[in-house]
Amino acid sequence: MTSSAVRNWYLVHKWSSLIPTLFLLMLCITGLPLIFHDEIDAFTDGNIEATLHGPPSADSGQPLDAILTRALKQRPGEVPLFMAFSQDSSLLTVTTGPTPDAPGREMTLLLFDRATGKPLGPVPAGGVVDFLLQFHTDMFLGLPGSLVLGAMGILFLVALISGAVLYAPFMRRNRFGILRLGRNRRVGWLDQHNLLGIVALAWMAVVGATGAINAFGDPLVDSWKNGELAQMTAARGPVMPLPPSRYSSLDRAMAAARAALPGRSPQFIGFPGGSYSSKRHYAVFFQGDTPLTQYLLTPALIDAETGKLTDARDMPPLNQALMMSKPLHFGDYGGLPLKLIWAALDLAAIWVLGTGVLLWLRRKPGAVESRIVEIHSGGVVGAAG
Amino acid sequence: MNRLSRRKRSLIEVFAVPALLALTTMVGLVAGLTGQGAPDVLAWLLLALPLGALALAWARRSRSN
Repeated sequence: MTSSAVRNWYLVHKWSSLIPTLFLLMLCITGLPLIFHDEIDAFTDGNIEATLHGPPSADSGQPLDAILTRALKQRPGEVPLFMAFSQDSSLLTVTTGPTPDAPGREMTLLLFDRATGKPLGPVPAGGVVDFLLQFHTDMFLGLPGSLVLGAMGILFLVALISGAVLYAPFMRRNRFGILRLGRNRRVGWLDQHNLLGIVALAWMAVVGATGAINAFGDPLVDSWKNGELAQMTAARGPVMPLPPSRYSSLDRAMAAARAALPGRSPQFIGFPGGSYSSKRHYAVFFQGDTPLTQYLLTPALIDAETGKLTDARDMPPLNQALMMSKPLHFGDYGGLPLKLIWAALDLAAIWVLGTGVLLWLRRKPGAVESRIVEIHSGGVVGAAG
Repeated sequence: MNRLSRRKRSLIEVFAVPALLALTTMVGLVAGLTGQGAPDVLAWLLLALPLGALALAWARRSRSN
């Protein structure tokens, strides 16, 4: 590689790293406890699901209509927004709000045991996990915050690529895994930065890319809702909003949805007028029937008045990528050992960021050229003294 | 010894181990998604390889520059 090529890649690496560094450090640090969100929730709130012994609420239990009636009795004057099922326990949740399009802060989450139909009391406050997740997602700034973090994720990917390119000239004269931790601290930082960066490269790229996909996901869901869902319902002529008083049986709607997508397990129902349905449909979202597709959702739209199926079709590829990217970002899909590995790799990423900042802060005064020589010589020349 | 006199390694030599680790990482990440049990164990083993490489490099660290 020519010196001018190294110089260009060095400048790309420097700026694509420096700009997002503080955001990335924040994401790595808040992300670390989030890897263990299940364990923290279970520890701080008591694990509600572990106390339930009925069949999974996605499969069977008390009629959905009866549970919905109970839920609405607890929240007089409100309308149902979501009903969500569990594949592991008889826990069932109902979300209500003052209007069908109520924003998240006005929603109320109610817990039920579907095996008995009994309410399970108030939802434990999310506390520290919710706070960290919100900060990690949008820094409490809503969509703009989310988009900023997504952009930082894309810069992070540029930094990874340019870093991997610079790894080549740096390592031309060094064996893989070299760690020179002698009196010259700078060479040690360079070696640590290069080694940790290159062994965790693929993991950092996947977590960075899926994080960016998630960050840009909200507008994606909106565009899908406005496009695909509209298409699915438009076939039946103009859609008039349906008042909650004319909603028909939820159990019949679920039966019609199951008949349309046999063998699949329902995850949640979006009620008419909400962000996951049309103005007059129950949208029953099913997960895939194979392990790889269980993170992909397929909606079946059921006319909320007649209880008949309108349409069922897969989500568009962009939305499928969004659904697949969630587990790959959070690392919560392979048991505790995977989470521990995720945490170790997250710490490695923090170390890469830290040594990167150190290398920049403690650089010798002088032109970029001395850094180029340093990279070209594998840390032997330029870092000395 | 003048380290700069050492032979330059080819790109293939430089990226052999990193490319292998990237490949095993990707296979591990997808394997974990494909199910419980054996696929999970495969994911753990493959994703632990980068950490193993770090441990090995640490064991072989040198105290000179």
